[in-house]
Amino acid sequence: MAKPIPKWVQERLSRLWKKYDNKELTFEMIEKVLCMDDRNTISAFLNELKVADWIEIKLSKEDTRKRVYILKEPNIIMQELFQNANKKCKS
Amino acid sequence: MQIKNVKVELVDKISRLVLKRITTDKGECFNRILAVSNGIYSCERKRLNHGKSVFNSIFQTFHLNWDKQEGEWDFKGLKKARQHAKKNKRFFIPYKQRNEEQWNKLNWKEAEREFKTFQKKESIVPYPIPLTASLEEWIIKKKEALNLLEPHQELIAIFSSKHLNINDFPALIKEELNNSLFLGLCCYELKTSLEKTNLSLLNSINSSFKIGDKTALICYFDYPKILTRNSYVAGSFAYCCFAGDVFSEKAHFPRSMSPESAEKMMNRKLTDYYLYDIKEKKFTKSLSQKEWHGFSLTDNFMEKISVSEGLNSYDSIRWLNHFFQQRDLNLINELLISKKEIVNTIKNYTGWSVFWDTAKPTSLIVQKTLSSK
Repeated sequence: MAKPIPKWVQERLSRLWKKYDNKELTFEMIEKVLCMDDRNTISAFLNELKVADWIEIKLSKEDTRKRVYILKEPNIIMQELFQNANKKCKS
Repeated sequence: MQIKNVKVELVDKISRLVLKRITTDKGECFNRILAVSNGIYSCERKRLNHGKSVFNSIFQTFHLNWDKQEGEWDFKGLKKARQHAKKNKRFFIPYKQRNEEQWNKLNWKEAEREFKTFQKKESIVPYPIPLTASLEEWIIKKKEALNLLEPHQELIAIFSSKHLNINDFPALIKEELNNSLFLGLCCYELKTSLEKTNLSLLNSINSSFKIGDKTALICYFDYPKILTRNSYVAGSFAYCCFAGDVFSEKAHFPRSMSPESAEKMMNRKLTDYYLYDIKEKKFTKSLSQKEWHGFSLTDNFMEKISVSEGLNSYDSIRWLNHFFQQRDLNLINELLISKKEIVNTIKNYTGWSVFWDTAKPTSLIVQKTLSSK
């Protein structure tokens, strides 16, 4: 179930979505779109998405040592966020 | 100017950031202050020549350089810097900028000699503490030192963040926070576990004070302007997370640089300068600003600063960096005062968020355990 994410992660995520939608992404592809040469920040970015359940992480079919990242559909995320908010209101 | 007292105004329960109220004979202000250190002082002098204003910081430091060729500390410029501080109603702290090797060699004899050198002329007198110092030793030395001071003078014990006597470090810190107005720390780049442990302990002790308690101002010396290993976050923010109240940036002395480094520095272009990006809360260069924002912030600012400000392009950027960092430290204070969830704000900015998640002080549970010992 998706949870809210910080503003700086949202800004970067929208750039990724604009370019690739829900295609499989590699770390290098993300690095390029986000114009970042700082791997620390990208790792933190991916971690925020993972913890908030906005991203799916799989092992690459070509090389199982690598990971591929798939962004969740925005409409699914919105639904989940609403459901979460409703749950909170009821409780 | 004199500090009457420093009191804890607020301790944020989640972030453990502390707001301190500083009461002087001229008024009151809060902690998280960038001191006017060597670089900014040189900019201020240039600006004054053009009839421009200076920063309103109440602290000025002067880092002294070890002259390798002469084999002695270079006191050149100290008197003028002190006069400048006095004129601008600032607390002035002179500081011998030691490298790691010099800290390792520091003994009580040298520390005492240094104290006596400054004791004659300074209102705030630095006393560097050897790396192996114990509480017992310091209590004796401190008593002797305090006996030599006039009523208007204050002592500032300066520890290394790599203090080797880990068993006594918390007690030493507690002693200073409880009984002094200032506590100095020479810091590095948060690379080693020793430094992180010591500073986490310091943060823990600092945040264990109650509202209204009298405490000391924690002054970080030698902090690196940019933490390149921590996503280019500002050193001022990084050390603010480790209980910093006053920050004095590491000075770079062209005379002690190698000819290659000096030449490299001289030939730097505008695109090589790091600018503090207030939106990202980290340092960036012109090229990455263009890629991310679509335009260069550095170029944009440079177009707005006229030559009549008296600063060259490097100094202009340095001036802006100082100004923006202080603005962000003020923002932290404002958030604390308004009792907003400060961690949520920190998490909204790239530089702050990445540092907070990857390098902030040891978890609160560990901190509480350590401070209760």
